[in-house]
Amino acid sequence: MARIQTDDFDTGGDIRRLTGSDYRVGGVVIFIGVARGASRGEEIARLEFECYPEMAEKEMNRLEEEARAKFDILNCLIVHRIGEIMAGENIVLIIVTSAHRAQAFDACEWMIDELKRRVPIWKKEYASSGARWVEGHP
Amino acid sequence: MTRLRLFAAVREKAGMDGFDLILTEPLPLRDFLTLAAEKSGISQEVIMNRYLLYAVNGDMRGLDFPVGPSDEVAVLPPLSGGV
Repeated sequence: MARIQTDDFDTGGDIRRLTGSDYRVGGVVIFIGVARGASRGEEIARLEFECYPEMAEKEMNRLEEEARAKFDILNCLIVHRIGEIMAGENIVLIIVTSAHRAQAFDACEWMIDELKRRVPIWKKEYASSGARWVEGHP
Repeated sequence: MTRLRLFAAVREKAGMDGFDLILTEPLPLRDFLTLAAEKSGISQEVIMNRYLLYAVNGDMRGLDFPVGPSDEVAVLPPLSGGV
């Protein structure tokens, strides 16, 4: 079940909850997106994330369901933070478990690409020259 | 009551996060946005331009989609979640 939260995530705890005692798990692939401290040649001290909560959570849950159907994986999870995030802090966590690694890597890459394309979340960068909403994905 | 919700850059440009309208009959999304701009005083360009996406009740929809009297319409600027 996907989550949106302001607090940092507990990656180890989420991995344990996802794998549980499933003896079929042979690999766990993790993607963690982190706030970069620079953008367009400028220092970025902090970011602010805003979302359309009802739709973002629904779309993230859909992504998890689609990944389970599309790839030969056992389980997956998306957690995205919103609110103020300082440079170097975690933004997004994706965990995929599978029996074999290839499908888990593919599913994880597909999930972050689709999240950026489909989930209504917006990022504002606070640079020395001022604040700006980021449009599109570098 | 039909609710218009605005987010991020669009919310800031509009100076409000939403606006309620009473519709007596369904309208295509395009006409709903025109009416909402007129009633709210938000510049039409702010909520209707080629960079924006739209959702009705949490699902992405095109400008021909019918909007009903109890629907929620969201104006979505270009997305930038993830990293």
